[in-house]
Amino acid sequence: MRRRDKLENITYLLIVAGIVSTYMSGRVSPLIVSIAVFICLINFLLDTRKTAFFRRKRRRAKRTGKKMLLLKNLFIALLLIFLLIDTLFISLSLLTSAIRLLLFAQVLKLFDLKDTRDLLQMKIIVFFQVLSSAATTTNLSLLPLFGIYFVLSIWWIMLFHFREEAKTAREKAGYRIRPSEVRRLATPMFFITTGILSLVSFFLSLIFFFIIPRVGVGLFTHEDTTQIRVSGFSEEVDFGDIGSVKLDPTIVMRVETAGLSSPPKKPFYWKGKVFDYFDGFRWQNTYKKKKSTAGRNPSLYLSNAQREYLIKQNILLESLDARILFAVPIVYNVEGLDSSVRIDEDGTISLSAPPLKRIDYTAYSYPEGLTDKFYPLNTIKGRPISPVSITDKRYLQIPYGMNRVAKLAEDITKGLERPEDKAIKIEKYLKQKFTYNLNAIWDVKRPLNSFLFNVKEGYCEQFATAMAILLRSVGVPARLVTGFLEGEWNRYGGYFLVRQRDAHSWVEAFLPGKGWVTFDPTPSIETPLTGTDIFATAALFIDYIKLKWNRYIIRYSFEDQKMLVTKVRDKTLNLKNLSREFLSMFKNALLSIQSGSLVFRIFIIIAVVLIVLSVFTIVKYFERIAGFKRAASGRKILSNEKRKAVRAYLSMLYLLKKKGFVKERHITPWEFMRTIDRLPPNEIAAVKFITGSYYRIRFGLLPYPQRKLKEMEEALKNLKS
Amino acid sequence: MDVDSKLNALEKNLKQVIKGKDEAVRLSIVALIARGHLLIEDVPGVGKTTLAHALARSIDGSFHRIQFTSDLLPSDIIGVTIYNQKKNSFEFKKGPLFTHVLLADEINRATPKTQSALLEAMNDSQVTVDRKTHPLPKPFFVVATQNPIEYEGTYPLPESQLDRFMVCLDMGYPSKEDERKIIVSSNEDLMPSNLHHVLDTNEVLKLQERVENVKIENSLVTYLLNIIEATRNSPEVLELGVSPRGGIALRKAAQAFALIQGRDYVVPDDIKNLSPYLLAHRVILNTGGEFNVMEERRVIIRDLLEKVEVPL
Repeated sequence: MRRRDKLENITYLLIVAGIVSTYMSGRVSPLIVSIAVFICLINFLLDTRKTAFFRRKRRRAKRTGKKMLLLKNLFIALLLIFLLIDTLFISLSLLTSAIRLLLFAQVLKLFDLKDTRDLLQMKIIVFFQVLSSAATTTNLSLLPLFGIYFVLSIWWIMLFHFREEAKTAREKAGYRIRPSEVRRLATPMFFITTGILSLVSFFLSLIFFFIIPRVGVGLFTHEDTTQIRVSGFSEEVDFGDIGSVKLDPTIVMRVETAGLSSPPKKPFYWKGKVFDYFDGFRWQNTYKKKKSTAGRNPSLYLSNAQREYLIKQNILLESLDARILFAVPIVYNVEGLDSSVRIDEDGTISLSAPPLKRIDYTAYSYPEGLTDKFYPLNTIKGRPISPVSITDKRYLQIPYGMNRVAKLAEDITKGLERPEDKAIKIEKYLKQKFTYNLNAIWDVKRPLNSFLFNVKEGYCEQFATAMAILLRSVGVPARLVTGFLEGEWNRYGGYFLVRQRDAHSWVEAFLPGKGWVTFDPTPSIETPLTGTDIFATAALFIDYIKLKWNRYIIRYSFEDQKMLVTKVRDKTLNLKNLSREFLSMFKNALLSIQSGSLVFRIFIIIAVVLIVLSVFTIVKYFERIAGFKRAASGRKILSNEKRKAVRAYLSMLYLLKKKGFVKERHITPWEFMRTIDRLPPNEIAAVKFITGSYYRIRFGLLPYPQRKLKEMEEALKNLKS
Repeated sequence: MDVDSKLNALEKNLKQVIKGKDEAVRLSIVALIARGHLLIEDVPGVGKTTLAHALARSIDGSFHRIQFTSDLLPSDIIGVTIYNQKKNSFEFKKGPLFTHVLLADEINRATPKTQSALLEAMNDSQVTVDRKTHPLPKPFFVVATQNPIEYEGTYPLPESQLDRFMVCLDMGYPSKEDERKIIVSSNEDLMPSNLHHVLDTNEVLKLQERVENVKIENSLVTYLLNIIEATRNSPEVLELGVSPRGGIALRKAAQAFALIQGRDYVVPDDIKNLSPYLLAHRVILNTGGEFNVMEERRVIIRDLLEKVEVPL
């Protein structure tokens, strides 16, 4: 049985990496991908075991070479036709069809991995696979895959080079290098060293990533069109719309709140869309005369005291199929978006079109109940803007057939005068008397009545609708709001992680003197993942890395670079302070290591160990390479004794180097021997003996080299001590 | 035959008359036993002819000396065909070339025509006159001397002909101590004609055979090739590199050098030490004729040796 070459093994690993990256691009169905993996596996196994069979076949193939070639060419032509059809009719995207084509070409090539050239072609296919999947996805999991691909590639290239060198050495210089010689080069040490080296270079190239100016265009533009479907944020929302997503863990957004190191006691609500009109079945937004208030820079328009109240939120929103943005009520301003943003009087932030990619913006909100502090007269230029005047009948609209509901509202709020008390009462009533149930079924003809009087079970949609109508029945202006709950607090990054299942609807009621205030009548459900078990912790940590990945790698921009440069300039401009700053930075770094989280500390330790290790291995590696190169230069195949003699001589050179005697390459051993006269006599004798013995074994015909070798070892030991 | 003792005796013999020039002595022996020819180039009066003469005297074989002059003709050294009236036929009268050791003194004083006649014989070990080939005796060893090329009244040997000499060495002035010895010693002691033979022609042939059997490791061949390649790939200093014939010569010489030192295998030092003497007269410097003296070329060759890696 043929021993498989390491180069071939690595090629197979690369193939797997290529297939996985194809899978990550999401353009090929998992079924086809698994078939490809299967074929790869089959080829891998068959190739080793049935070599004889394959060889026989190959010989026959040589005879019928023309036929095979024709068949191959036919396949390639078919593939090209397939590419054309795929691009024009099926996927409608050149990138997608190219990814598919690559996979098919790869599978075809798998049956044809014969010589070095085939391996090279396969390598090129895998390269393009990884490249194209990098163009289609910004998934973090591509990073480890790329790391693996990177290390494998470097191994592959080096082994490939060895093989080619051996070949050309035979052709050019005429001396034969046995395959076993090449194989012997690829020791575990070789893989470890080159692996570490390539990882180091990988991290070094990261520096270039941050330094080289962004141009904003890539080889392939990102096609990141997979939008998350959300409900509840269009112009209409059904009585039971949100329920369908209540179990979906897809991440919708991440919110960083400035100056917040733990979640607040009163939970945040990420307000999205506001609805004013309920027809008994669905909510609508009927207010057409929208006044935009966007574009007011807080630092220009607000006093310091006012700015104190602002809640700054950095929001990273996944690509949704809605044009609504989210923020804590009551939003004052939104920054950081290129496209025009409008903030309506009811506090809805909207874009002109649904974003096609992940977006990132900053929202400033002021707390509820402080409206008068921001708009003392509730007006801008004399016109009321927010809150909407009580006379606006839209927020008191009640659909037909709500007599019973009105009666109930009166019953609940009996004896209460202030709208605030009424709202609190109703909220309490719904929270206590009704139960949360995602699977509740109500009468579709009269959903609200059915919910309030018969079923008494439901979820946020029903609770919020009920509360809004009950409030309106007793004369308190109210409206339905859809958005997201606070979400999960990620303690590693200090941000909120909001998922699809956090979608929610609640009520805003207008209270005199306070403005619009949030009420949530939905009974609290048990909180999801609290992050106690290890998987949840790991998930939180990974999500934190994902956030940073997205922020500093995917969306790393020219602006960031400018900021970096400014930062560096500011730091270095003041040369006087530089050293002091450096010291304090160092001190701070030490302190932060001391006080930092366990994960951070482990991170630092690993980084330090890695750096030290890599420096060490680099030095060792080059020493070895230099020694090896010298030993190998102009060498035919050395007998065992000769190799041992060379090794002994090299270790002598190494010892002498430590003592300050370096043999230059063009110096012959005898000439070198004459330069070490500063050594003590016994050592000179040892060197002379080793050199002489080395010459006799290496170039001469010594009858008993084994004995001589032993004596050389002895002399080496003397030299060492 | 005890090789070591024979070679030692030869060396000792030569050193009797050539004081303090061990290197020159050894190199001349190298040329002899590696089946090469020797060219000694130096100013007059430093012992060129003495060395050549001593070498010839040490071998128990025929020895001729030709003093080259500008009116020397090829036939003066090869021989002539004359009509034998008794036998009624033409007969070839062998010239001084037909000998074991030939001392060609001041070779560059002769015209190129005569020079080339000699050099052809050196290369082929035979002479063809009137369509008849006459083999030269074995061993056939030429020791030529020449004055430095810039001297008056010389016809400098072209590079292609210099190539035929295996070793080109210069004597150089002796050190003060050695010169003192030379000056005080009696004339008798320094006369090569007073030396006795230490080798006969058969022994020389055997030695030459032995040289061929000295082991030269493959990596050393590569080393040698690298050196030659370096001379060819240095257009900034050398206009003409070493020919393959030069490579052959270097290999043979290294083997001979090893044998002289009592080894039956070549070591890198052999090649490295011999290179300046074997390669310098085979290259042309870029600087032009004026500085194209042998010493200059040796410096260049030594520089090149600094760039070639010694195999381990």
